[in-house]
Amino acid sequence: MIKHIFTLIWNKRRKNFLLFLEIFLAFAVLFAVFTFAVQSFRSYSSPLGFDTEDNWIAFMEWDQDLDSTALLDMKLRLERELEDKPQIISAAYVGNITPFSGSTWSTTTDDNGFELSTRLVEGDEDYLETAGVNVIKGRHFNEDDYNAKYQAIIFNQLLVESTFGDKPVLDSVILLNGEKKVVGIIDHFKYMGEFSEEANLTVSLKPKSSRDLGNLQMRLAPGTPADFEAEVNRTISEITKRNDFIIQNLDTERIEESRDTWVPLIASLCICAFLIINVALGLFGVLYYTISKRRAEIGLRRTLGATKAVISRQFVGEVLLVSGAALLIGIFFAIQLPLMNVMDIDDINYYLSIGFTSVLILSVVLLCAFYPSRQAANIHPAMALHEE
Amino acid sequence: MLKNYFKLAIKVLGRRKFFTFISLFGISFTLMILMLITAFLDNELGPNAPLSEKDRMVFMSRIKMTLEVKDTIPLVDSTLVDGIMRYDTTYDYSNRNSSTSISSYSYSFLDKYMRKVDGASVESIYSPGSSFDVFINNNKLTLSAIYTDAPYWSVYDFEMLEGRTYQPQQVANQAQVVVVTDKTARGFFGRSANVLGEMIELDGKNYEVIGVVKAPTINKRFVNADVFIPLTNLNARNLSDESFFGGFEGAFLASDASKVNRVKSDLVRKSTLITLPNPEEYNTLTVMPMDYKERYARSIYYRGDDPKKSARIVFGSLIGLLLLFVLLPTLNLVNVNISRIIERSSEIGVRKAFGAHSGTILFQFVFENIILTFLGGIIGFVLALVLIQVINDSGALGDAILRFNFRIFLYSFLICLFFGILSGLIPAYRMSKMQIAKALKQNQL
Repeated sequence: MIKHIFTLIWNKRRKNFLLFLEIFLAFAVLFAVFTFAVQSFRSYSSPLGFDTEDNWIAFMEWDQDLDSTALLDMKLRLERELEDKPQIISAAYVGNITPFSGSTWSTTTDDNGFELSTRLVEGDEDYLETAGVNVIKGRHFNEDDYNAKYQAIIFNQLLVESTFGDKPVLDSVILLNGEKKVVGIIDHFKYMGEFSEEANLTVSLKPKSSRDLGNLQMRLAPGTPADFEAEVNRTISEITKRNDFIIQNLDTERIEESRDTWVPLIASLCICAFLIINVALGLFGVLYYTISKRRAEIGLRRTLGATKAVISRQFVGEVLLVSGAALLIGIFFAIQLPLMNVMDIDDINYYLSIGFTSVLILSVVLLCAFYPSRQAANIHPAMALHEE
Repeated sequence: MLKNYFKLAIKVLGRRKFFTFISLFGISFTLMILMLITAFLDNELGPNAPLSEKDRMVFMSRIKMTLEVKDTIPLVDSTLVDGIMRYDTTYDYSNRNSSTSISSYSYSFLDKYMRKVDGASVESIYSPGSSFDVFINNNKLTLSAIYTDAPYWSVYDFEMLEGRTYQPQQVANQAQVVVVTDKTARGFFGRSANVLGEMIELDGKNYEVIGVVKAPTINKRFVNADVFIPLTNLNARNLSDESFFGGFEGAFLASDASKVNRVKSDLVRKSTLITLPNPEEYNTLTVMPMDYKERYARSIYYRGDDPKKSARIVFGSLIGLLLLFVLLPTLNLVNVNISRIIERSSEIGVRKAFGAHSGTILFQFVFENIILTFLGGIIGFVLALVLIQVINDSGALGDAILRFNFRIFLYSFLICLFFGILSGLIPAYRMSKMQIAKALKQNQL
């Protein structure tokens, strides 16, 4: 049967070639978009790891002329006065790597005898708790860490799993820009945004007096009205004697950051939907037309005893064979991407995307082939032969 | 003749409504998306205020300093010869970058070394990226500011709505004046006109509004700001700082577009004459003058310090993706066209039997297809207008506002023509080559 269908297709190869090319191109376009979509959604579905609601960050400039004690005094006074307000639950100083700022800082070292590659975030001892980051092993930083022999760091779970495997890491001393001691492990901290992929991360502790910690994160009581910001603004400008700072609401930043992915994602999915409808309609039209051209053939076969099911199977089979061949070629090329590691994307995303694309195209083809084939099967032999 | 073809085309379209629908659906949506993309690209890359002269602009926004040290890299190669390990060590004597910093420039660097550039008619130094929170009736407004010199207004041709920009004299005198955008005026004063002479307090200083410009629709930090302040109002240390790194960038307007490369090479030449103050810290300096396209591409796809490569990759893949996108609907249309032209084989047979040339037939069918495309183009145009309205209202593109202008209309027209010819040519060619006898036999007249 398949051999027979193949002969039929081969006889009309010029015509089928266009259909073949169309399915192949549709596969290529859908595959590209779906890979992007699958990757985005997989990243989106993994937890952010910190709170954005009721969290503000003040990005501040400090006077370069202040000496370090005066700066520390000023910083401590600002933190104390802000924490005294009932609306602010806690406040903490953070370095220049803040959520959604787009800044990253990464380092790679093989001082330990193995490669340790990680991103870095700096904050004071209250930072992780203020941000709402969850420690799953060990503990948060505390004030005693400043006096300890080794500087304290906290790893994220991904780093521990990817670099150390099952070996115990907690309380060990690691060489990372100096000797550091791991005091805790956090679960997630996707500070680059909801659509970013989790990366190896080290949070390192810096004292509040450090000039590297210029920004202040505040956790507010739930339901604090937005106009409270004016009060915070006044307090900061009174204490720092400067006006060139801004306060950002992390929740707003999160939404804006995600919009940079949502907009192209939705736009490309819409374009895909249009392309699929376009291809489906075209396919339907061509099949419908071809079948009405082959009425005589159908009539003859029906007279010779072919059942309706056989006729309809033949037409569906023809279309499936052409599109299946196009899909196979498409999959062949698509598979090369994960195999050759062309782009920095997880392999599983490619395979999922190939799966989705194939299923979608096959079902569209089946749907479009079904109705014209039924139509073909319903042709009355006497009528068809009479026309001829 | 064309009138006849036109009538015929309309008749044929009315005959098979389902096929006409399929064709028009594909054409109109494809053209709609292409028009949207054109409108978007025109906003980003077309000559619109304040970047009308982008073909003449050269930017100096990034400086790279590295410390290169001579280093010996031993390479140990081991091979097993006759069961005994042999070692073969080579020493490679080469440069190694031990530290690299990339930043924007300091004012003094640009002012001291990058003046009187060959081929440039206007030179401007400015510092984008400052922001201030201001509160009006308990509503927060985050104002972004650019500190500029006076030539800034000659490089970037902002559309002046009211008042005027500050003059070199005012900049030199540290005049506390600002130019705001209409968007800022609306947010700050509640009205976009008659705001001259009003005061704005920023960073503890009171500034008088002396001009209102139209807010740029392009989201680039070197032009998109809410207020523009004379740069002498910055802390004096910012201007006198002798280090090469700072928060400034330079823009140079070549006297005409052909001199852009001259400006770039002169900037690079000037940089090679600089003696580095502290060779232990950094011993090489690279300036990266870029034209607008390179700068634009670099912001999308960062490729180290080679903006040319960024431009090639970004614009190359853009064209590739567009072609891929157009190819699919075109193929679909070709498929549908081939099917529906067959039903007119009798007509072709008769015309050929009466002496029509293949070329005439080819022309007729391509012409019919172009008519179909333009019908779809009109629908697509209307759809695109509606969608542009929706996109602008939703603010999905940030500050970018898509508009239709004559240029986009012209591009759309060309796109339609190209699409029509492309999708009509293959089916028409096939039909025009049809044997007369076969054509006449196939269909009952």
